Amino acid sequence: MRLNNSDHIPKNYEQMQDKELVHLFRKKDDQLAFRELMNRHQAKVYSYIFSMIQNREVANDIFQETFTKVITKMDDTYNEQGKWIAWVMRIAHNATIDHIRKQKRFVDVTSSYDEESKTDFYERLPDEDSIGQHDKMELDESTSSLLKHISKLPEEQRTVVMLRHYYEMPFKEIAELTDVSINTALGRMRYALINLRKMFDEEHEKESNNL
Amino acid sequence: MNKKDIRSIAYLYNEMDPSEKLEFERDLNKDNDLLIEVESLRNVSEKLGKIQSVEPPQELIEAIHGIADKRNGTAKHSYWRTTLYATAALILIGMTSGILLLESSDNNSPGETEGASINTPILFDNPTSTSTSINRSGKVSPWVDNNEVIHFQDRLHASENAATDSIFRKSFQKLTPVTDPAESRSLPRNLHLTGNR
Repeated sequence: MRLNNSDHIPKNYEQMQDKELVHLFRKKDDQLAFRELMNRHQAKVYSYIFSMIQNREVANDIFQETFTKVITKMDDTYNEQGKWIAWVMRIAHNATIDHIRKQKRFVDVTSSYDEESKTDFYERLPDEDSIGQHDKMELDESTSSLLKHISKLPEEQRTVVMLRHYYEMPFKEIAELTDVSINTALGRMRYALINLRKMFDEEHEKESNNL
Repeated sequence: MNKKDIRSIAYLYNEMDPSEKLEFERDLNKDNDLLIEVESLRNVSEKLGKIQSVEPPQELIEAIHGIADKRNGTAKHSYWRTTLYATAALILIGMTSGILLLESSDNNSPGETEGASINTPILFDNPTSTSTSINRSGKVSPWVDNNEVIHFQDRLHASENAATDSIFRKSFQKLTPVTDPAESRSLPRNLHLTGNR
């Protein structure tokens, strides 16, 4: 999806390939080339991060961290032989997974009893339906519902689903990005679809019972 | 997970080559359970296809553009700094070379040569270096080396004999020839002079 401000970018930039734009930005500090690259990929990169994190503020931080690294590391670590966006996605993926793992690491359930409020970790957990309520309001209902189900998948299955469905990434690239074999990536997708099918069925059953 | 299990996913997401795809479709026609699994997975996959992409906030994009602009500024700054250092280095090299050249030319200047010729007790030419010190312009230019030895050496042309003889005559007023000039009449003419009488 392209932003409205893409009108400021000359037409010839829109016709260039990613690698040409990257070359212009690296060698000639061409800001328009960088803007065109952002316009092409920002929605998919952001969607991937947001779908994994499900929180606007954190997604914003990780998105900014990703592109700050892209800008500062492009001269040192990006090899122009490879696809630029695959390199960017690797940075986004690593930053996202780092965040998820840090979150897991820092929640110490057993020792989190709060003397003041006399509550334990579970009591302080927000109601599931209220998580990211503000964020969900900006999304359409079906996307919001799908993201809610996807967020319940194990991390590695969620990653494959999002990379494939948001980013339309081939399984070969997903396998490279996540450091697994292509068969493992395909297997994770199969389990993810089976798990989601169960969730959809349960949801459907609930709705039927409510009626 | 065995290969059989992942075939349905590879088929759904077009990850099969044409021959594998053909074989899998043949199996689908024969195996109803496989057909049901593929269709149910396709149903879930199609639902996932409805996920809409989420746009990042515009202010976030502007902030990132700002970071990219700063990188541009840093690169320019770094370019100017490099240019400045290169220019300073060139000036330093130029000045050093200039000083060395000046010192070198001071040692060879005719004025000092004259002074040296007065104070130097023994003056003589160096026939071995004749080939390297020939004055291409045809003029005879006496010079003093680091050992304060005055040198007269050149390839003389008939037209310049008068000027050379004038230098010789002036030298004879203050210096004594080391060797008999008559012995060195043959070309190249060698003249050894000394301050001792």
